Amino acid sequence: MTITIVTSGITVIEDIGRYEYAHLGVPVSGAFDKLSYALACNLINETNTPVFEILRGPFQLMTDAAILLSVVGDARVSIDGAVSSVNSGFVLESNKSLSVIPRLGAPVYLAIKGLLAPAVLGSASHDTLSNLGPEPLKNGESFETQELDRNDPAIGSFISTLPKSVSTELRYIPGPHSLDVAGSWRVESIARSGVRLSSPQPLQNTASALASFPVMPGAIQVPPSGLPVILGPDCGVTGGYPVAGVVIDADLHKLARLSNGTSISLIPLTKEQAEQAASALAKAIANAITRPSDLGSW
Amino acid sequence: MKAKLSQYGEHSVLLEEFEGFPFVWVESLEKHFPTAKVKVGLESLVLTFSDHSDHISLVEALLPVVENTAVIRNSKLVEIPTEYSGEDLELVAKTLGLSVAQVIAEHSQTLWTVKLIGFAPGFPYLVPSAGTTVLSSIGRLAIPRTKVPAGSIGIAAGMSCVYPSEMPGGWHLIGQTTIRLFDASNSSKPTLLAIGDQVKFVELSK
Repeated sequence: MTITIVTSGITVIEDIGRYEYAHLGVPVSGAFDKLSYALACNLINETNTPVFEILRGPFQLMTDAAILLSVVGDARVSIDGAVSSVNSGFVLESNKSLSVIPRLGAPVYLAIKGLLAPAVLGSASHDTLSNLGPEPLKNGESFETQELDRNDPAIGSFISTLPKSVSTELRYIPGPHSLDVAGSWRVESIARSGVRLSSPQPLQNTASALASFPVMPGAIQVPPSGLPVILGPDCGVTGGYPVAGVVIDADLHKLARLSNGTSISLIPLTKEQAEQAASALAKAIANAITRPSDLGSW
Repeated sequence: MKAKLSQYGEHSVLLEEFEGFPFVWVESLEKHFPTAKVKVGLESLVLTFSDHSDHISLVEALLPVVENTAVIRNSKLVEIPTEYSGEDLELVAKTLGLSVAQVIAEHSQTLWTVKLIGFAPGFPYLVPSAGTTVLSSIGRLAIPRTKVPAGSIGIAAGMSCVYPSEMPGGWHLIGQTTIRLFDASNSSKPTLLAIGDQVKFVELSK
């Protein structure tokens, strides 16, 4: 059971991340768009499995045996040149090639049942900042996978209701430092370590550097320039700039879906509202997928 | 324990303005908040919970019984063989009005404590275990280096550090060690140093 990367594009391996080593300075890392990641895993009936995060195409792989896989995101997908569908779990037969071309800048997730990827510090995630985990994919590289079970109930699963997500609205809990970042900002650049924002009116009276304190993905750092940086999954574990707020869990996936030059709104929220948003998203993820067995009684 | 508390995202509380090194509170905080992860800053602590309950009230209620353990269990003394040949050694000496030998003596005779591991995997922030150092008037470089070699020993803002791997950095470099501080392949013990450890730099004879 070997799959071979014919054309890697810009692709990294990611899973849920490294959560147990923050006290040793190790970033969390993990999938940038955790919503698409969760859906890609669910489609093949897996959790926290290593997947391919395709940041730029064209991406193409070949398999020497039938495999179960899913593709989630905005992409053109084809099998041996024939257009195929995204947002479903399907079998790629042996000696077929799968091609994935992301349409926008947003990462696309390709999950393969039983993909074996080496774990470093408990995770197979590639950390772009600390250079931990498997290297970005290379042309010609190959991976072992588990043998396909033709009775796998995940075969033929599809996303029937994509969870609603307005990617230009990022909701956050204000604090711990008093800096008002609410309102409209322009996306300057996007990386797994963080998203830089700009504005003709940078924040004024920003504090100088503070004693380094723990930071986390979603933290809205405000450097002396007054132009915020929203930290991404590969951010360091500590930082010395004031933090104006933290993007809520339910909106973290949107960081990966932003486009350069577009306008976004930062919207302050209460903790209660964040909790509601988190449970709404969890429910939407749980209800997103239909399996063939769900249709049996129709 | 007495501390200033602030909400920090939907799951965390930031603790500031308390007495003592942050790490001396970790053990007791972990005991009283078994569902929280305790993260350490240079002068702060963060408690991260997984639920959405009223964490500030919870922390406020239990804080008075949180004790300073003062001593860290299993902390160790680590000697770091050092070649004092850093690119900024002469600049540091000149800025302080000291000889290079005096700078080396000050750095190598100070007993350092690992106050925090942050910034990058295995990167230790070392502070004098007692008092301050005459090196403390040295700040960070105005323009950080884009590449600092692994094993470089730096000083800045009264602290010292050892770069565990090659990375950008803004500390003044005064020495170099061949000791490896971070090994990602060792998942049970990836770093040589742990928070609370004591460090002594030992000058290698030339």
